[in-house]
Amino acid sequence: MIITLSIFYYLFLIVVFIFALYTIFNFYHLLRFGFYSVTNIAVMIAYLAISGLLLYLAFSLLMMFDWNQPLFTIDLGFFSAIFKYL
Amino acid sequence: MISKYKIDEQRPGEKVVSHLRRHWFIFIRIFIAYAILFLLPLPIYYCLVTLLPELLAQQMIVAVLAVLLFSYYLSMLVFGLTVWTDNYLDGWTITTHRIINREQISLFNRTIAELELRQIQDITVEQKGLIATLLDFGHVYIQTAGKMERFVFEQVPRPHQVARIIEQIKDNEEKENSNAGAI
Repeated sequence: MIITLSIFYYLFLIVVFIFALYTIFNFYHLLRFGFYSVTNIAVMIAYLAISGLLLYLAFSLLMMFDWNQPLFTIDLGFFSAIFKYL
Repeated sequence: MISKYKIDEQRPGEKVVSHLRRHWFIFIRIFIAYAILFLLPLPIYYCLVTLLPELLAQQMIVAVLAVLLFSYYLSMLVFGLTVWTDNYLDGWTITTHRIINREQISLFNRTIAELELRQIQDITVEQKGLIATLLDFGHVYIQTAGKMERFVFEQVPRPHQVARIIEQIKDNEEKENSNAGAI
């Protein structure tokens, strides 16, 4: 079984998912309990702008790599040999 | 969002005197700490370019490094927002009747406590350190007779003025109550 470089891409997608989840949690708190002030709204807009830019840069850069490159190979024959003797 | 001029369950005749939040320096300090953490990959990149240039010639290594770099930046950004939320949502409201203490301990962990002005027994101001003294911010401790023994306004601007305002409002309320009792 060949493990490709894409494993790192999927790990990055998990990071993006956690990032999105915590962003939603924080925005929920800021919108529900924060004061209706310019600072609060400015911070949320700046955060969205920076995150948008960062995600755009990340995905446009990561798209340039060939994620199907083989990283290493797992020899499944070893496991099947063990199960054969059990 | 909470309005600066209205509070939940506002009593008849109750007016909001002041909304307090931590001093701006506390937020600047957080911002500087995260700005340094944001710049941290630059010296690491410089070290890799100068010491191990052959490593960056391999596309596979560059791909892994790019994943690590963007994961680091996304984590820093969301941690920064969480620290901001934690500090920004701590707030204290002084009204003509009571003090409301809103404290964000962590995400989904928030406490709101109220204190009647007549319950106040003692007010103490604490300013620790050079920056706190120069920029005039510090803690205001309010000793009460209630269950929650001490209310703390943390790192608020002009703590001496805040203590004076609370004492003044408390005195006014006591005078009004004694006048009403005499009539």
